[in-house]
Amino acid sequence: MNKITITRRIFQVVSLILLVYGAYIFKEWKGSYETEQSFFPSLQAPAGKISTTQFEKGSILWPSGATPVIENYPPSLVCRFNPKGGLFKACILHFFSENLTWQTQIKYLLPYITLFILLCFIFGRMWCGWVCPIGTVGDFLTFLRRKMNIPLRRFPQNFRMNLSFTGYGIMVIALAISTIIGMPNFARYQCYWFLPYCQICPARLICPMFGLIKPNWKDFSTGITTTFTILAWIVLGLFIAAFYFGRRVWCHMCPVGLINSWFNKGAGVELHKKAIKCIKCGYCADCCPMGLTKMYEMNKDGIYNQNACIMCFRCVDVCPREDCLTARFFGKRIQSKDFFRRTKDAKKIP
Amino acid sequence: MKKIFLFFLFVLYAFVLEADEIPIEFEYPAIAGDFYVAGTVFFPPLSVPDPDNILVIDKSTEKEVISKITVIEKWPDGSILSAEIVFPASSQRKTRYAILYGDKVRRKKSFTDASVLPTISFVVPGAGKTVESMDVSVGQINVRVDRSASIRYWWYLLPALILIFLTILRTLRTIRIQRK
Repeated sequence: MNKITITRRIFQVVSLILLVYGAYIFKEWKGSYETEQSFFPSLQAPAGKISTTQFEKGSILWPSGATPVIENYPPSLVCRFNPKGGLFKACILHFFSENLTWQTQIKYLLPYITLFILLCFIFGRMWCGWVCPIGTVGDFLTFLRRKMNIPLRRFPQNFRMNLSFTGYGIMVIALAISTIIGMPNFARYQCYWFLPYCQICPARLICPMFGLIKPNWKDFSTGITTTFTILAWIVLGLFIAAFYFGRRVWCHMCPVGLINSWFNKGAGVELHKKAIKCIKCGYCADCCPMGLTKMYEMNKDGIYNQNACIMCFRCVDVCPREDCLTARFFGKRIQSKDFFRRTKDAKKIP
Repeated sequence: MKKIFLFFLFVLYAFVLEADEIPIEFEYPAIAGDFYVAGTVFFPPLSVPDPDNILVIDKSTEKEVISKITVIEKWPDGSILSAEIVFPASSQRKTRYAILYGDKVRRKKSFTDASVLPTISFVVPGAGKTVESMDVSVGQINVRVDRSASIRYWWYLLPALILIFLTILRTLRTIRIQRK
């Protein structure tokens, strides 16, 4: 493993610990979950609207055990179903979903949305490659596949495109349901359809286990909860299969990643190629976990940020040619010759 | 494709037409005998022009239950926004009730003067639960009123728009480089 990958792995583990135990650590440090009032307004369900806190422990939306979340912190794409509470509010899809249902005034959402845009403007889709807890779990599954010598399956470009369309479809349906149940005429469906994507998201079943808490695997009390239970199992199965047989296949259809990807081409973190140095070895295309090949195919100098790129910089790591592929931050090179070790194979290439 | 879209619209329309029933939730009291069930229900605009367009039904028999309906607020168009609904129930016969409303329904059974009976509050799904009593510890109560102007939040629009503008500019630049 090369230095960027090692750094990334350490970052992923630290992020996972912070995301899972963040609020717990904060409480130990500060003495309570209460935070000082910040520029960020505290968003709450208005009277007559449902909130996650109204669900009993063990109901479909809620894992068993206490799940405190520090509400006052900015949203940073962290699932609120973390067993010991995240240091941040919630996943951005959760954020939009619940506030559409609550019909929160847009002015109260602006500080959060601005911060989200700022983070995406600076880091693009780095979240997916460096922080995302279920991405970390997925990378571990990929690691297991390698250890068990199971061959990697490469999926064609069209298949990955279709996955993205599926992800957009799921996102649109989830947000549409959240909007509809927020209307007074449909308010009685809130207890069944609140946060529809969260109910099938694999993070809801995976994250509680990191806090040694048994997630709520099933709820067969009504037809709708039975449907959500079965859908959640299917999505979890797809998630495990996607990471086990391929690399980061799930990330093509993750709605949260898709929202992030809108900012990728204009992000501050850039992937730059100097075409004259490229020897067409194909290492970059071969190692890309998202199966992207553009930086290999293109023969011009320039920025090769793509929507699906998760900014893991493995391509920069494995590139045998110095200065051919570089990671940049607003045009300034953040990779230097001495900092990142060349691969052993690279030394053999003239 | 057009047919599928029309079918989808039809299903949605049918769904909205059928969505004029609100189930009622309340806990039967430990006391034996009759009691009143009361609660406030909110209605969407234009859906209930008159209190007689609201009725309570017994879900087991699908028959109307006698009720007293008092209009509390109205929408600007004159339709009912919220109404207090009271109807009798008995703990000897535990059943489920629902409220039907809309142009299609017409209330036939009503009463105006209620007997002296215990009253239980009902809730409708999605609405906050009401409580019969509330204990407040005697002591100082601090109330903080947020008097900050909306500008405190609206000013975030400026950096957000600048960031979106910069993102679009940089995205266009990246696409231009990649197309060269």
